[in-house]
Amino acid sequence: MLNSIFYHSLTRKYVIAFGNLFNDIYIRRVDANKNTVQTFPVPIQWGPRQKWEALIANPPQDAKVAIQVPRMGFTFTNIQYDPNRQKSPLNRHSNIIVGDDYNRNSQYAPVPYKITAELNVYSKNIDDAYQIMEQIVPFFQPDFQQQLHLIPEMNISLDTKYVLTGSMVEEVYEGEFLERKYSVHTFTFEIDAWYFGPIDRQGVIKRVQVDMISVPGSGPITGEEVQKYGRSHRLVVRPGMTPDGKPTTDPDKTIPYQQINPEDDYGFIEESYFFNDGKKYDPRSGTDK
Amino acid sequence: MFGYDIYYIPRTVENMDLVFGEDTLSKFEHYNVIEAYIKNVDGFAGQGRFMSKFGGLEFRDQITFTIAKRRFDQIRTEKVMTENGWNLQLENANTKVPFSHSSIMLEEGNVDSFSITFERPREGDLIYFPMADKIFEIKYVNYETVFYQLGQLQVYDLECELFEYSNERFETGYQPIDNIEDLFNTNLKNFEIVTEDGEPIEKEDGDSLVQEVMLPEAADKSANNNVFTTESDGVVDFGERSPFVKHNEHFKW
Repeated sequence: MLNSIFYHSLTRKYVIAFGNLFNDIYIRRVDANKNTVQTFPVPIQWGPRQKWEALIANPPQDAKVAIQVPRMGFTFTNIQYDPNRQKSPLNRHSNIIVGDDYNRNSQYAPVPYKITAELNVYSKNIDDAYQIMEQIVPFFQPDFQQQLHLIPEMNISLDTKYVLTGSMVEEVYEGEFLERKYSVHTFTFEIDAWYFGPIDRQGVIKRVQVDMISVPGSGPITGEEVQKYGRSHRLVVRPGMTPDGKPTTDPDKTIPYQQINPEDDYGFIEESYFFNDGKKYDPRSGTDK
Repeated sequence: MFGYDIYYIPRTVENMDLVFGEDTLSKFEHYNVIEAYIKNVDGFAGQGRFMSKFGGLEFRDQITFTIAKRRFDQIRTEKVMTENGWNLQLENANTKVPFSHSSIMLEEGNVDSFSITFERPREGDLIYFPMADKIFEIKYVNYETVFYQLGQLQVYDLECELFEYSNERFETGYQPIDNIEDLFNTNLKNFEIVTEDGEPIEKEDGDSLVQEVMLPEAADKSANNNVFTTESDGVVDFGERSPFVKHNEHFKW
């Protein structure tokens, strides 16, 4: 029904942009004299991976340790329509096509959605967890904005807002001694996302046809009358050019208008037709019915 | 006998945080070989292997090693022993009390394999299990599993779980153990560019030059840090408004 196949990989771009925000967090460890002994990056990963991929990357038989910590994983937990940012759906954005002088790309306004993202931080040491936390929260007051190139074909870059909506700390230390002691910090973000529809290619209009109806009586014409009466007068305007490239207004001397380009020297052919057969123009078949 | 040699690796506490009650700079510098009985019959216990939301896999294998109390005392330090392997005790020794150590000791050392200066196996120490080539952390030392047999406690049960590696340093001198650090360590200090004398090359601001090869992916196969950096080239506008980029470029040691 919607009659279009398109995919802009927008959600994937939001995943990349979100992961890129947190891929350069470091832990620093100091000795008693405050000399730095260790500085190391905190690994981050998109959580919902294929299990076979994870197993091939980390074969169980080669697992010398349980896990490398601290580490971070994130995922998107919800995608919900955001009515507060809705633009008029009739707005269109158009953009020239590089190397194509006769057509333009156009696209309707995007629909706004809020993506809920969850960043999970796992740590064995509390100090490591707090170091990570303190490198994240100052940048979100409570939001952080970043410009993303969402639709390169349309040259659309939009400021994307990440809002830190919540953080939860889970310190697991009670219980039996064989149970692990660990820290999990969960940060919840809302991403102001946009989803765009298909890109239409709009060509040069070379032929204009206007059909008019004649309705007896006086007063405003109603919709029923428009449907009832066939066209009585048709006006067609199109470019005219002779085979040797000269402008003409004679419909018998011109080459087909499809072969005439905007930069050619052409004239305007105006044709007028009158009908009394009660037929109407069918745009789908291009004929009068 | 069903014993198997395992490697007892004591933890060296470097900088104890008295507030949080943890030591993030723990080191493992020594090891002692000791015979152990493996209590698990049908493989490792614990939660096993699973995907976690933190990225990658977790291996939660657990195992219980049983070691003889007397053998632990023997490897712990050098004592005067009888021909039968029994320690000579002082007259005031009360052998019925756990952890009563009144043996006649030749010396208390922490070198040449006599590195364990404490009286009992400790939680937080590690066990290298060579048969599986895995490192386990002692979570709990159960000393009463064999309850006063012949009037004494005879064994320690070391209840262990696979070690969670968090950039701890291994300098035991035994390569299979020290490999853990070689494989998984991501400390930038280990990737400094150094002179012939081994001194790091420092910039004017005091930062050290680090090899470009140092990426989290090099030591953590699950990490995607560099993937996000590469993929974001066409997505994110890395303008001056990005505080994260600025932070990274001016990162200090």
